[in-house]
Amino acid sequence: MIPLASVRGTLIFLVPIVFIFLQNLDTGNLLLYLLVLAGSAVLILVVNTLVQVVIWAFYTYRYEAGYLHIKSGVIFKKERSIKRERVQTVNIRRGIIQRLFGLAGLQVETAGGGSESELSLAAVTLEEAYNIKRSLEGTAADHVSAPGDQSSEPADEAAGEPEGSTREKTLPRSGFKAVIDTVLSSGEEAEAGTVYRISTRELFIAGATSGGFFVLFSVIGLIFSQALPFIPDTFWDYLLEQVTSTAAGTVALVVMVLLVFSWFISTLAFMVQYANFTLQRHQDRLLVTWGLIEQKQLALKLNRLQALAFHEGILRQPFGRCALVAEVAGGGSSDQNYITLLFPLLRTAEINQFLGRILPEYRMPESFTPLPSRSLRRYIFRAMAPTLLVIVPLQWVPYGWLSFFLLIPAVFWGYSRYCAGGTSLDDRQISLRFRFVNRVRVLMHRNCVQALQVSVNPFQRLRGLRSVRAWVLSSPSGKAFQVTDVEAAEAEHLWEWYSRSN
Amino acid sequence: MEIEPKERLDRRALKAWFFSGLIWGLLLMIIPVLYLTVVPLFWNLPAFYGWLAAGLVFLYTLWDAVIVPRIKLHFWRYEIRDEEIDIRHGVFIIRRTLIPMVRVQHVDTEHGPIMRLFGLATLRVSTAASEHRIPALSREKAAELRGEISALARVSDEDV
Repeated sequence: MIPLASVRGTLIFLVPIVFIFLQNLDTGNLLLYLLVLAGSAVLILVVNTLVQVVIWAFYTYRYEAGYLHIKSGVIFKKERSIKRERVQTVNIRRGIIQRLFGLAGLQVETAGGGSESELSLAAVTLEEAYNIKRSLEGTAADHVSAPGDQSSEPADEAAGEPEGSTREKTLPRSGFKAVIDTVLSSGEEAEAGTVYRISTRELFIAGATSGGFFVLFSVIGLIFSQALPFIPDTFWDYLLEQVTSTAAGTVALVVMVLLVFSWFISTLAFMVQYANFTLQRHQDRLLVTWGLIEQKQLALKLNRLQALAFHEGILRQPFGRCALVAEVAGGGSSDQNYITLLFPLLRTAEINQFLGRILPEYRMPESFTPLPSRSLRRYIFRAMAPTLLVIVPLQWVPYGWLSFFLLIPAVFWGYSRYCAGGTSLDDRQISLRFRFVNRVRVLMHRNCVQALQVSVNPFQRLRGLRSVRAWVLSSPSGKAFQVTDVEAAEAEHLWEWYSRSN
Repeated sequence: MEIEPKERLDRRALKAWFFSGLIWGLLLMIIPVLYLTVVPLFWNLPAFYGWLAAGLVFLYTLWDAVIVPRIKLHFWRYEIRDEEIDIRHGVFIIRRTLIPMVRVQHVDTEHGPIMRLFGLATLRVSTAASEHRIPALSREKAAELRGEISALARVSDEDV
């Protein structure tokens, strides 16, 4: 793999050089330019090759007794041990070049799915790859990856099919279909309670309140502002005469039209994207299907579900609606662009009924422990501080004092963040409620919380406040949820609940 | 939460952190030194700013290489229990972190050139979602803990 890697490295380095080259292209000195270009290419290639050789020489691995040890690093030494129990899949991949040299690439995926939790050996001999795979996947997978099995089916690998049994990958499309069929055929009446389908009206509300038009509006606005100089003056004159007599009015009108237009488009796009959104519960599996033009399906085994998050967008909260998002443990879904939206729009009032039918494992707490009133000051201060940073320099600008009015929404924002903060516990579930812009309620099972942190700064200590943070596993890497300024006693309560020592 | 973790970092951490802080300081010092020596050859700029910058770099180095390591070492505590790893650290914000053994994915030790010079190593504990470091352990201790944690993590059979 050394030559391959160094060639690839060289190409990456060459891109900017070629750019500079093209910028300064001067036909008179073309030969000289080409010589310089070729020279730098050769130099970079040589250096790269040396670097790759050194990296290769320091990269060693060893597997024994259910462990894979890897040592790497030239200056910074790094040792890593992965144990068999944590290995999710071992994929053997063979590209054209690897096949040419009788080599194979080996990828070990652990549950995290993040870049650090994946480990890959770029090139080992094919035989060695199977040995490692067998040793890591252990007895359970023996019948799948017996060596005789592999060598008798070289055509399979030639197709570049990844080996191993990623859950998604062993479930072909027809598999999804079969699951749906059994759900439907086993008596639609009996299973009706476990199927949720979005109505067109709800879908419209979801699209209209998705906030997508903000993004679209800014994109359109950007394009529009770029195109502005090309619009002939006569057009503006015409507009001015027709609609209003002031330039400000024209601007306002254009902005309004653009806003309505982008709102309309984004709503339509949302409705097409999530049309026929259906969520089904079938034993230990959730089945999500959606889409009008392209029918998409997602089968989710419950043991991959790490947390439920109810997002109440600022546009949705007034309507008493929220979206349900799942935090899902990895497993090679990075290239499939999985959205983990479980349901685009739910009535907040019906959450408990919904959970009871689809996910009885989770429970929305009736009430959250609110933050103590003394943390309100801190929330308001935190909201005001950045605003003041904007306001103070503006005092040197004419009418800059008007910026003081920014403090009103800032205080309101801080206050609503304070109101949103809350925690709740029961014997196996921790629930956090907080707001940045959207109000979020996260439900996590105790055994899905990867780590818990309680932090305190000197000001918080003075007032007996703490911040609580919980990590859950979520593709592609972990996610942390935090509630700031909770009562110290409540933080301690959460800590004791999470600790396994007492 | 009342039971604070007991173990401390290796005392040699002070030296290692001082050393790396010093190197940073010296590297930063290049900027004002260049300003004071090279710039006057070409432009006529007040030397005051050069001295000011040098003073600031000096103060920063003092803070980063001498004061912070002491505070850090003072607050740093960890404890490896059978079922969890309990860490307390911080300079301004003190963080207590609890990592259940069953959640530990892998344990690494790593050491850069400065750490190696002082016989130290960093222990890095990764769960599926987060990463936690115990810096500046003696290299033997780090290796020992790595073995201990991976053995303890292996015993636990609760799955992710």
